Amino acid sequence: MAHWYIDALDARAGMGLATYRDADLNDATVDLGKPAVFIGPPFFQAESVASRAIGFAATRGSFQLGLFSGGEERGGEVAFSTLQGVCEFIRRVYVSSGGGDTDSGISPAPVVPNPETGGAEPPQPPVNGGSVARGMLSFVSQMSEDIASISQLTLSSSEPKQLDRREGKYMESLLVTLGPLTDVDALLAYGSAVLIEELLLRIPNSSGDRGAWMKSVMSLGQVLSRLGLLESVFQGPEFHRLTQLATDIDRRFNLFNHFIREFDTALPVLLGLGSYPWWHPRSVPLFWFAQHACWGAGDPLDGLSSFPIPSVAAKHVRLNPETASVRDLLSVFLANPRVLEGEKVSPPEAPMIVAFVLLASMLIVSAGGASLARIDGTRIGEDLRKDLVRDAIVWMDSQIPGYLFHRDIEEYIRSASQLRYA
Amino acid sequence: MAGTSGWLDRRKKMLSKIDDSSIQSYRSADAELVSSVMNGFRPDSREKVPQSGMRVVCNISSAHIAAVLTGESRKDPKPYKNRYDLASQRKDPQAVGARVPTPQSLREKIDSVLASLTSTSDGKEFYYAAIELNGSGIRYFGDLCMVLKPEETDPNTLVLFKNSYDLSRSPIREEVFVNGSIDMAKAIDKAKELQGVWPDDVIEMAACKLLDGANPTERRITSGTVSAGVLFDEDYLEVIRLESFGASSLEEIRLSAQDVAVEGRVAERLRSGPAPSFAELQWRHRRRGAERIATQVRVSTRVVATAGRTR
Repeated sequence: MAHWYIDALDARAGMGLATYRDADLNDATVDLGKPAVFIGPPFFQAESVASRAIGFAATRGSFQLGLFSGGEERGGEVAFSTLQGVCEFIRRVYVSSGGGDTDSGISPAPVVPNPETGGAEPPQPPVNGGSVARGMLSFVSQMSEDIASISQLTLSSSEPKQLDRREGKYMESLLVTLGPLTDVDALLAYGSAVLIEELLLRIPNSSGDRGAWMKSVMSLGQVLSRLGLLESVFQGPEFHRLTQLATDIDRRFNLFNHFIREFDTALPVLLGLGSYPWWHPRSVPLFWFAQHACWGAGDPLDGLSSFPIPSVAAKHVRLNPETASVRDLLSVFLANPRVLEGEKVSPPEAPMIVAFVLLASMLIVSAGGASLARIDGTRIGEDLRKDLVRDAIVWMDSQIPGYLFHRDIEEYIRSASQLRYA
Repeated sequence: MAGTSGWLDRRKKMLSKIDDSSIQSYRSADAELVSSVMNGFRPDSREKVPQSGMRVVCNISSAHIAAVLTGESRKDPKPYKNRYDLASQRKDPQAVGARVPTPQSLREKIDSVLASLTSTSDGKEFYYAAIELNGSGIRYFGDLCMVLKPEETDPNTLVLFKNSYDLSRSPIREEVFVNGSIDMAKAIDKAKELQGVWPDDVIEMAACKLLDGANPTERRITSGTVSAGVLFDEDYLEVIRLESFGASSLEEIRLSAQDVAVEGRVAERLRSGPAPSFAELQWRHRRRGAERIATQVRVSTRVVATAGRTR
């Protein structure tokens, strides 16, 4: 019986050629005369090609021949019931593969951990992880149940299964699912504090490597300032600990010629937020000095690539603990939000991961808008930040899976971040 | 294997078949134009313009280019990899998507046909490429077109008039398949009809390709027509190199104007909204990374604004 099958696939490149046909790749008599479609980034819209020959030609380079499950029926080929399903599969594989971009060298890498620093207790997440993290866990749990429901059959059963996530019970948006966002500030402040600490702890011992590190720290300061989150961090429970860490680093590595004498000044100066002689984040309104912290109109993925995530978060989503960045994490999460789930019902890493992907999404959707830096710490600033969170969740909703597949295909999508050319 | 496959004779024969002498003279002039632009001559002389004329190209995705460009510095003996190289690296051959059908797949059979033309035992050392003029290669294989320095492809390298997989589709399929299976002897004979060598035969092969599809009109073709005729979508002259290559073998990397326009659209959406998709951002991010790494290894990148002339 004819279905949509993949003739050639370069998963990391997000490129594939597919045909509506019977399973025949194990057949020595395969006929290349049928018309085929090409699917590729960045839009993943199917485009007709004259024959299957170009797909087979592609398998002499970086494309694999077909997509196989190892089953007996249909020669083990994986079938898709619709062309839209094939396009969505390739899009998700492509997004997932971005989780390996740092290790592949195509994306700038964050500074690596310094084995001589660290050891302190990590920042504490909000009570019970916060309602947004709990809501997200509930959301992906539902996804897992649905995937399980379509995984009862073998991949080579008579009718391939896929679920359209924009239909039926999924008509409810992610924004509605996550609820009123009343405690989202605490989650974002927590995520910001974790990122600051992780980056500070990675200060290189070699002065020659410190330039890239300092640029990353300043970039993080600019991002948090732009998102209007500095007040939450500086007035939050982690401020003194982060300040102590920043002060210790300045004293140990003599970053600022010992000019910083005020204890509370070390952290904002390191984050590139103010002049070191007289800045004091708890006595001077933040927005007076916001002009020091304007994130440029660059590529948000550049900044996100330079922010390392703690090893516990990286391991949870199967990324390299030494090199994983927020940008890598965002890739694997958007391709397969079920990475949030672990072996426990409520994994402790979940609030951290949700905070990171939310911060990253906020940066992306805010790239063209006004910076919130100048009204940080004000009532209206809080309102605008909440609007930004809503925009970010709506954007995330449009990026996460449109179709769900059999668990073996879902696992293939998830493992795409491990693919390397060399 | 020398350039004795008679492509010049074949081109002359194609011209002689045109009954109308006026049209024949037009097509003869077109053939001269093909020769001139494929050689990379200036319009007004037989002096070669640097970085113009026919080239051997390989397209690759911006997702992989970093590995190719940095391969030599990592002492990788094969920075650009064929499917056999990539398959040998796989740690879990049973994973979904990794299994290669056996026994001998169609790819291996076609490779065997070509091996008989290159005096090699199989296709494990074949690195497929294409002939390009002013364009940006076969986009179905990747968004970046790696242009090899002409001297980096050995003289007498096998060039086929078509994608070798055309042996397995109509109308050639009917000639070389018997009872649904490829007849190796017939396939080899047919492949010999399609073979030529780099660089000696390529100009005449290109002329034949252009004349084959030319309209019987009294109107001259342009250099843009030649460029599009040499490589258009999935219709190209196939090159079978017998060795890998790295950054030092590259003359430049070409980017298509269409892709660059899409990059600009993504940037504009970032500025003005609605926010682009993550896939769009990732694609642009990788392409920017590719250009950054190319600069580091001293390979220039060039946007192909028009296939009609070299810029």
